[in-house]
Amino acid sequence: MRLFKNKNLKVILGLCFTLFLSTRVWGDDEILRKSVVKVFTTTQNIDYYEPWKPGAQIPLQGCGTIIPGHFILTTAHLVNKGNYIEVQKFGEAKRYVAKVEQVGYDLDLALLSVDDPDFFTGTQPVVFGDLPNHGDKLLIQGGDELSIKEDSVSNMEMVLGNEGGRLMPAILTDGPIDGSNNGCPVFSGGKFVGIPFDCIGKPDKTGSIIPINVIQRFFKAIQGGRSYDGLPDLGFYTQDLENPTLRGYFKISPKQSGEIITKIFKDGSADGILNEGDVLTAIDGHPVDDEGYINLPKIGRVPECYLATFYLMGEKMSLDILRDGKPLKIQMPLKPVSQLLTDRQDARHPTYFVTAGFVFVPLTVNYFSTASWDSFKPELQDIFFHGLRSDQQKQIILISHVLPHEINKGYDKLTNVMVTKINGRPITEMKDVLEAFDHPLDGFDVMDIDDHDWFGSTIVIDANKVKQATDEINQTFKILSDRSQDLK
Amino acid sequence: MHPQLKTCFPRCFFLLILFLLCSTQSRAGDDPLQKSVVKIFTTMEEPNYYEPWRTGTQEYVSGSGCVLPGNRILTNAHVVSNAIFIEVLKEGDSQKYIAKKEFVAHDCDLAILKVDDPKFFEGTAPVTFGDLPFKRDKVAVYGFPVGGEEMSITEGVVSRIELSTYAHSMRTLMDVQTDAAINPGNSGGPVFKDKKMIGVAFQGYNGAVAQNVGFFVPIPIVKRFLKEIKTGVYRGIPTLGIWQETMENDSLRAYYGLRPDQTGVLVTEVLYQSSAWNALKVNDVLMSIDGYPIANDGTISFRKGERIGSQYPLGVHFLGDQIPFKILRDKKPMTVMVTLKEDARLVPLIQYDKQPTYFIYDGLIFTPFNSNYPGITKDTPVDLKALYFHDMPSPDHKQIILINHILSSPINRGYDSKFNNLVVTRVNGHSISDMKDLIAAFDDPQDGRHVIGIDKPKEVGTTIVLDAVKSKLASLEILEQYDIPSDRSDDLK
Repeated sequence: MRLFKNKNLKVILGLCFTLFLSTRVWGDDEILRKSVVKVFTTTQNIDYYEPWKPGAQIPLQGCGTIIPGHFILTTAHLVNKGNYIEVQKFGEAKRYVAKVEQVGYDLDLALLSVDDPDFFTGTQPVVFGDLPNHGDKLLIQGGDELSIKEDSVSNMEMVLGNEGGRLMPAILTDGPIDGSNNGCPVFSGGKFVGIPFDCIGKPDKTGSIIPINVIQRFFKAIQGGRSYDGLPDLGFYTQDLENPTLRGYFKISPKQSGEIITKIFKDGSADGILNEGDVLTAIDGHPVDDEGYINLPKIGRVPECYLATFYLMGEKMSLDILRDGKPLKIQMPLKPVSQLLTDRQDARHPTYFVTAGFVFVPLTVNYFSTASWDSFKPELQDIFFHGLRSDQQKQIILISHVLPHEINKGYDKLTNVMVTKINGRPITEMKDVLEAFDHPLDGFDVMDIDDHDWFGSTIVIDANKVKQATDEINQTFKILSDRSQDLK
Repeated sequence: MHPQLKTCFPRCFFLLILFLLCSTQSRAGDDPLQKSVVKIFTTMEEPNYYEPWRTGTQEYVSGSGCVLPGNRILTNAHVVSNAIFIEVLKEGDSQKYIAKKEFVAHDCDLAILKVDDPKFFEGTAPVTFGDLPFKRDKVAVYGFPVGGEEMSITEGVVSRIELSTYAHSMRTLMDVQTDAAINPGNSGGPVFKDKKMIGVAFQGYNGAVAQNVGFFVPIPIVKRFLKEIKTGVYRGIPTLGIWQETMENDSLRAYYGLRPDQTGVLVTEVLYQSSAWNALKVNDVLMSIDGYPIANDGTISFRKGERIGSQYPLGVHFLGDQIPFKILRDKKPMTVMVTLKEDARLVPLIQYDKQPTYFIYDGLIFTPFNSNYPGITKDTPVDLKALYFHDMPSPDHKQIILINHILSSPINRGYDSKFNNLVVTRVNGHSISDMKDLIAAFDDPQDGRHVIGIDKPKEVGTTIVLDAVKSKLASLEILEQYDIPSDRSDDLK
């Protein structure tokens, strides 16, 4: 259930892969020597439970690919939390300092630059290829020693990226890929066609590769020095239309196919544009079938959300719908995903606020890594899968735990409880928490929590003692700042 | 930290493995207490909550019991639950006698059996009742646990007396812990102190979790049960129907108007149609229950130097009894009389000896969500788990109705196994508060269609539509095809 890496799987993959080892390949050695570099980073773990603590440092090593324009393309998770990055050319001992130019967490891609122009002397940028076909042979750069493996393209799927937590297109390969998360390039016919990455939901014993068209979409987004602004999202859920009576009810003719729009996300792309109950019949002119798939030339049958991946934020997508049985063409500008739980992106500085020993954090996907899945109450597990934003709920704010002190006596066992109101003010996002504590009720700070099946529903503390208690607590627990940088 | 309806997270589930292994050492045959102890053999048939028209598989279990005055046998409810055939065997005899259930109290895990053949009771001696023991009192457990065929006696001391969860019913009642070995097969057997019966052995821990921890139903609960069945019918132990919060923080107490010398717990939720409904309110502070002052941690003083959870007095009262609460409402002290009623939670506790409720329409099997179904296990969908632990009853929400699963057929084509375990929100525009509403709503199709609302837009969708014109015939065909005797359970006929 957890969206994290399966370590055992990696070991198994490693064993399998020796089968595919082959060292002699045509001019590829030459390409690799000139266009692949080693990347060394030190990343810092993040402690979402005690977010004021700096996490442990872990050195990581992977690959980068030299692309035209003196840039190095690698995976986001390699450099995401990286404090210091170095790159090294194949066959050379000298390491050069590199820095991150752009990061696309949701695509697991990052672009590095090197200040020292000497670095690029003798290198040769890769040539971008086309999307490989089913059955095409791939050369996969694997491991630390610039070894090469062969595999072939199996099919194209939408998978959940391990780093971004978003559905994205991937090429699946026939066999697993060793060192699948180190950012090394994949070639087909001597041209660069993708980067392997870790994802969730792919079949066992297959590998997954970020395809070249997704990489090109990343470059399109950052063209002209723009900052990468993420993948847009359709912003609705749909239901299959297979039952004949159900089709009749939604006034769709037997010859047509499509999906019912059942839920429109607040503030998402479809908000104010589509209605619940509309039938989606085509996306960009491609008919949507009764199971929510479209058929694309060369790529094959992919889920309806596939095409949105290739749009830039704000670009308009053309949708054909039936509204009350009447066909309509709609141009829908695409917006970012509208989620109640924020992605694991930009995880470098988790948001927190500590007052009177109560640790307030927004519930995020990342936060679920602080404890075992089963230790989260079913309501929170349900939000993980099904939580949607509303006017009343832009974020879920938790009291993650309570740092014990006389002021919070009786509440010190609370853990992971949702806060609904503070001092009578509804809590819809983190900034509401800070504001509400400025308005105590008759000398009390009163917090309403949603935990009545376990602890209770009300927390009251003495507002006049909060400041002193917070100072004492923060000193005891060595908390340098009572809130994260983004709340200052 | 003892909410009235404290929900038992999965930790409770490994807690209670019933029935026991013996460290034997039977005493000589002249022990008169042995004449009170019997072995019970039960054939039980678990109901099938997935295909409720079918009976479940048969299981054979054995337990223990003791003879009461008046030629009755006392045992645990879980020894005879869902029983279709019961036999009893007395110590030193070889002939089994047929027994029948006379009264079963699932909430406190006790049952009374009768034996029609009077010969059975020849040579037996009914037990005499003692009183609730104290810690370190010596006790002896008699019964027929695993490890051999003959009667086993184990001895130990009383380790602890408190409220805890009865695994059979998931109710919170007083129980007594002992270090006398209590193993599978001991269930229903008597516990003696000074030759007087003081309890009925009923549960223990899995040996992998803890050793020398056995529990028995204490004599006050046994006596309450025996007193109630004198009326000829057992109706059950009342619950209060509130959620409460402990008040250990000084500011919390001050905010709700308690003086430093006053103590109590805060009412945070009152269940619809429970005992407390219309009597107690959210934000009332309960200061005493039935004459016992309630401490800030939710305990009451029970005997000298002993504390117990504040719901203890409910466990010795009867439905319909009135008990006084001293409360603080809007900072004003008052006394409220509460008439005690049965448990009113939305998702009923585990039920036994009952045919599961179901209704089949166009191949869709509808069942109310209860603790038997689909079993609150790791695999239960998280949204159902959240409902189970959190959802509250209300006038238009008396049951949670599920689509259990769908019997595939042309009329329901396209609604596949994704549609299993879905909560039904509306049918033909009518809100669905219980099974009766559901059945009635199917009599009111919309433009020749049945429109069923579900709420799982991410994985499944929001709407099921069925052809109402073809319904009647299709329903009959499906019943025939799947060999189902009736489209609904007996309680809905």
